Amino acid sequence: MSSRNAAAAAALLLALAACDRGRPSRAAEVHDAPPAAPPAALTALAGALENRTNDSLPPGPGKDLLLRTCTTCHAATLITQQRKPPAEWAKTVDKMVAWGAPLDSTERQGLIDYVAAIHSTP
Amino acid sequence: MTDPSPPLLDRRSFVLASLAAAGGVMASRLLAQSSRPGLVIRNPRPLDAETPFEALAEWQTPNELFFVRSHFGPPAVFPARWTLTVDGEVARQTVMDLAELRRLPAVTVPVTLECAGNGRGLMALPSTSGVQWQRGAVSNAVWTGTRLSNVLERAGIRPTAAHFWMEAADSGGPRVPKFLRSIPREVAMRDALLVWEMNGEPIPLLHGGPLRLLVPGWYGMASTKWLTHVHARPTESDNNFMAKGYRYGDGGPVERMAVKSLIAQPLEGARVRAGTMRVAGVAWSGGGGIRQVELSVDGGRSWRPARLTGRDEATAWRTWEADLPVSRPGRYTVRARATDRTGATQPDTAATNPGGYGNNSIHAVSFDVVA
Repeated sequence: MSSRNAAAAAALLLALAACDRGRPSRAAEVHDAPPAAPPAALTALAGALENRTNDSLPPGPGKDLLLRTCTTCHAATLITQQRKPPAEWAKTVDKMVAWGAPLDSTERQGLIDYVAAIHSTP
Repeated sequence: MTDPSPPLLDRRSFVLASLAAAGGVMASRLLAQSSRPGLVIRNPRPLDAETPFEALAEWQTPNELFFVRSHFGPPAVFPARWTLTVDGEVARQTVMDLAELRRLPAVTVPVTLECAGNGRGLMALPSTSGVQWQRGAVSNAVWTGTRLSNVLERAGIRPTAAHFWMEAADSGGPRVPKFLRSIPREVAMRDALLVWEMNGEPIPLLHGGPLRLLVPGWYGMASTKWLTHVHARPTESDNNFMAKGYRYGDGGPVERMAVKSLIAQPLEGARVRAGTMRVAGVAWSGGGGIRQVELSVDGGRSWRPARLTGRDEATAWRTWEADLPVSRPGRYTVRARATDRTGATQPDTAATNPGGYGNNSIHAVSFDVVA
């Protein structure tokens, strides 16, 4: 996402620079370059870790559900590092649904059971 | 010609050091080719990453090693069009761009930031939520900006302005609450800073550039990144991340940093020669500075003082060091305990709370002495 944002910021910069051509601007008085983007190697490593987490998820329909529902906003790594009983996962899932997670009511229990089971075996 | 570099990474600048699964918690870290350690990633998106232990021995954390905490991904920003708006309980709604802010009286201040959840992953909790931080969600940088009070005075805040709600440019999905914290008037007028430089450079995107708030002494959640609006209000923010998040078990708000120290040297599991062992680290507190740091090598039965070194600033951590005699080979465990200027001392084990906030348990490091 960071690289996407950086690309969007660069495109915006170019567009606005074109609009401003020939017009005096106070931009010269400030650091008008976009803030330094995350180092490419950090972004690459983050992407590799996210892919690795996805690959390591236990197989099954719950995996597809998790990837479709949760990873729109955040990496699955945020889920796999948490350990909670099913009742606590239910609260988390319901909060995420209230915040817009695309989960059908018929899918809710399946996702709760799946994420609760990730750490249930030693 | 064969290229043994790992996939995805530019071997000229970095190599992938480890992608380890430990205790179910996956962590990744960068290692510069010079063997200088990089950030330890706890969550890849949005990015949450710890400062490596090796960097905690230095008073000033370089920008590229400063811990990163993200509720949402960074927004797209265009500094030349960036404005800060002050509205609400003010005489004059005030909009200032970065150039105008830079013309206000400038200050350069070292400020230590610690994530309120730092050490959450080490707390014995029956249920764990959020990022499972170990110890490295803390860093110290030298920041340049202006006092928030300079802007608030220009806007003419009314007596009814008791709290200041900090709104930023980042956001989640359309139904996700914004991350909108507030701070009380006294803190806003006395302590808070608006900053645009970090260690002498424009603040990098991940750290809230081009403009962020700093609330020295408070846990990092108060220091809003990508700040765009300050709303003067009679009451504190009712935002999710105020009313529900960042609360201790008794419902009390998470605000000032608890006194804490970390041992940066030696590293856990180090092997050293018998003789004299240098132990060093950092200590900090939201209570206005560190009075003393003590070390124990007998499980906490006796303590000896460490030397406080470097700069003594109320808003920044303090470096410390000691030379311990380790004449006999064997396994040693050294503990560090800090006391701040209010007299508060680190506990052996911090009280738990469901959110895993404020873990200031004493840090213990074990190392082996060989003949």
